[in-house]
Amino acid sequence: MTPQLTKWMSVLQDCFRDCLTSMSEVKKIQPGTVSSDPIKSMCGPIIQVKVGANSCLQIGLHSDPQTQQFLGKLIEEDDPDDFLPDSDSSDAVGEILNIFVGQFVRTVFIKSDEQAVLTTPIFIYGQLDLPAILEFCSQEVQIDDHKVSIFIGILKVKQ
Amino acid sequence: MKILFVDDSKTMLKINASNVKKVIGDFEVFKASNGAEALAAVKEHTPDLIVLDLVLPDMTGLDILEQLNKLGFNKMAGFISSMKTNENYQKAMALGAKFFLDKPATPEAITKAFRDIGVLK
Repeated sequence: MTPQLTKWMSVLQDCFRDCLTSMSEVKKIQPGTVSSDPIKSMCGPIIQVKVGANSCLQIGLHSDPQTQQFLGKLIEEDDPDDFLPDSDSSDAVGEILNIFVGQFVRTVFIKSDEQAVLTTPIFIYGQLDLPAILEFCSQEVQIDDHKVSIFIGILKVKQ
Repeated sequence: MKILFVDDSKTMLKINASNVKKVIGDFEVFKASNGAEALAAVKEHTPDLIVLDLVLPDMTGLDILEQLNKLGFNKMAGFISSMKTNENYQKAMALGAKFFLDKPATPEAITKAFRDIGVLK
């Protein structure tokens, strides 16, 4: 894993922690294992960040459906025993991703001459095929008893 | 007071309205999830303040503000967005936006912005 990707993952993790702690009462967020193996089966939102003309990142938040429910209820301040419809939990988790990726972009590319443009979050449930991937890093994060993986891929852009 | 929130995320509409309520108490809430709904809601409800997201499915929050200006809208508008870059901030201010807050806009950030624009004493 290159130093740049390691640094970006560290920033992403900080942004994710800031986002969750500012939007919810969550206290315990701990880092877990890091992997450079691309995630094959996905449940969660992704966002693409196009940086200038030649660079594109794919950033996502992967977890099991129960954890998506947990995160959705956490930020919507719903009772943990209530059922949150899947459309609402995927919207909520997509918004978490949107917020911390926005913060990541402002942190990492603020001094860059190249403009970074974010797509809106897309929720993927199933196979994640990234044929144009150049580099990949995922970081597991434990929130209370739930585990999520934050991941970032650098994609090859057609010239 | 009537406030229109414009965001394509139901979660953010709920959180923004809830955080504004914590700051100013009771007010009339209107919600729109895209630009077309926002323009229709302004016409129908004439809100005193519009809180816009930047990225929406059919147009940007900046486009909405530009169209409202052309229609003679003279009430307050501001942004809550995860894309607060210098460029977006400058464009929003040039169109007459009164504030530009990062998502998630905490009650503290909303309080400061609303004091600055006179919504809150």
